[in-house]
Amino acid sequence: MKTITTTLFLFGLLLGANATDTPDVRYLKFEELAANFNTLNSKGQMLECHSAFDVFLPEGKFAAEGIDILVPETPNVRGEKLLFLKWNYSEKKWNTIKGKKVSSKTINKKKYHLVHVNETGVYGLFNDDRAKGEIKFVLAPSLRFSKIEFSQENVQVNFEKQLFEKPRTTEVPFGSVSILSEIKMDVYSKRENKTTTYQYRLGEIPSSHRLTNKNNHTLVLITKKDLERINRSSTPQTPAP
Amino acid sequence: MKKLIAVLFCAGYLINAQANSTITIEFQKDSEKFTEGTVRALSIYAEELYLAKGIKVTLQEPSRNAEAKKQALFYKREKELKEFFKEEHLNFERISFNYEQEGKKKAPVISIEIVPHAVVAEIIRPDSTFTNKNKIALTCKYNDLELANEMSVVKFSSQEELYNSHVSSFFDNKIIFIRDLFRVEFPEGKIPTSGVTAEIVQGAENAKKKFTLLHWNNINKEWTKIGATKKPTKGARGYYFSATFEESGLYAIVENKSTSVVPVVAKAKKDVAITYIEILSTEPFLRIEGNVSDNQREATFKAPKNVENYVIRAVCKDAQGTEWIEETKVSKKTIIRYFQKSKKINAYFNN
Repeated sequence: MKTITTTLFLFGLLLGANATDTPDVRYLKFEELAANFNTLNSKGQMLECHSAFDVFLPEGKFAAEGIDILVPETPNVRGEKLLFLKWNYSEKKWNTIKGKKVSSKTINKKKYHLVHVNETGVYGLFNDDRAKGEIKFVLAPSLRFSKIEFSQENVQVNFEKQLFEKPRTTEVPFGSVSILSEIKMDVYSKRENKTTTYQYRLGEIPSSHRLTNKNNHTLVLITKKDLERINRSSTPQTPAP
Repeated sequence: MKKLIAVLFCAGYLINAQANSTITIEFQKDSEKFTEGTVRALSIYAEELYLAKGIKVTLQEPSRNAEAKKQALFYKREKELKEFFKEEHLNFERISFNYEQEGKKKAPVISIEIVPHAVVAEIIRPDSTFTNKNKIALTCKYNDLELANEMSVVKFSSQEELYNSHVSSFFDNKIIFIRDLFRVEFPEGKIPTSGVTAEIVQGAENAKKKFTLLHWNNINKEWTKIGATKKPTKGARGYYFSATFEESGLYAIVENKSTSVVPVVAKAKKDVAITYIEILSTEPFLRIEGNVSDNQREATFKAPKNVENYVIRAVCKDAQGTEWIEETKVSKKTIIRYFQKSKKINAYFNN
């Protein structure tokens, strides 16, 4: 019986060792990307994310030699230029990695972007085209921002900012805004001395309150009535501590 | 010296002639029984067959489309011959069976050749050609015969089928004209060892045109070129394009010609976001996905200039999350008028 137990234990150990000995690459869906990471570079510019992945490399051979990751190229897009960045957890920004470039490879007539990774971490391929323009949110006089989050799924951008000075206006460095962009903001009401979270799509603000000029600068004026309407259409939330 | 060479040559020729004995196997009418002449010939050559270094058997096999009765008789006769070899205790390791496509004029159905050298015991079969259920001529290796017989090659004919196939009219950064579109399915996800070649009939007007076979990659949503661009070849009933299918999926035969294009811009009305857009035409069949702008307010296309009518079909969404499909007709007139004016076409959606 003892022998069987020992064998099973060793077998378990082997299985365990095998499980952790294998590198793991997992694509991050947009929901996961938006929930945990922003898409800003080290200069605070917004980048459109082509694809992001979480890489685990076990100690030993894989960590020493690294692994190649193949990401399918976007069909019928020629000259797709991408940046390969690594997420910096302490700075909460995507940083460039020295000596790492995106190359291309064709396997069975299918084209792929190829990147080499030799460290565990979260990596992303971003379009090498910094977003131009901005979107400026202006609240009604008695209201103040304490936090703003902006995300747009079709181009995979995400922005999050804590606003300790509680301003009346705030900007998001992204100009190509869609009516389907999602905005989540914590709004402090001076009169009620209370902070409420509002979540809505940009198109829910009347078009007369959304003004875009030629340089992709959008001004969004948010009235109390808009917030009341948003409140009615969704359950109001108190911000997370 | 000259004489010596001549003598040696003649001797060699004679030895060779003597060694290569050929026995024509003849059968009684509608029977697998050998004719008397064949029985006699086999008894004469029995010892030679037994001692032969190598035996080559050539069999003219009926095609898959031949009458069942004819096929059955051939295989009975083939079996009868093998039985004879067994009865005579002939070593099968010295016999090669070479199956030929039936049709060689004056050639015997089955013949045996005794050769003065060892042969590799093998079964040589030619590529099999037959017509499938959809009346398409198929050619394949013998090993793939069963698979080819069960595979389906369905040609899409209606516009609805073409649209629902969701293939693109864009390949290698160019607009392509799809002449034929097929769904090829090998049974149970199997794949042939060497591909199955189908002869696709082309009209005489296409005789001088060059065509390319493309395979639709359903994962990358793009076409992959299969083989070389070529002209159809003349066959018994017209012109044929040989298309080799190596896996299941959608295949297109496209005309190898470039077409002049015009840029098209489709703009959505206010408070509407475009999530997907495509441009469609019925004659010729075209389906091109447009590139939706980052702000989802407009989309751009490269559309062929000389096509009469397009339909722009878009999937739209409002901020409340409601999704619907909008169709806008764009005629050549509109395109040319706008093209001349601003080099861009504004295909506004219906309000």
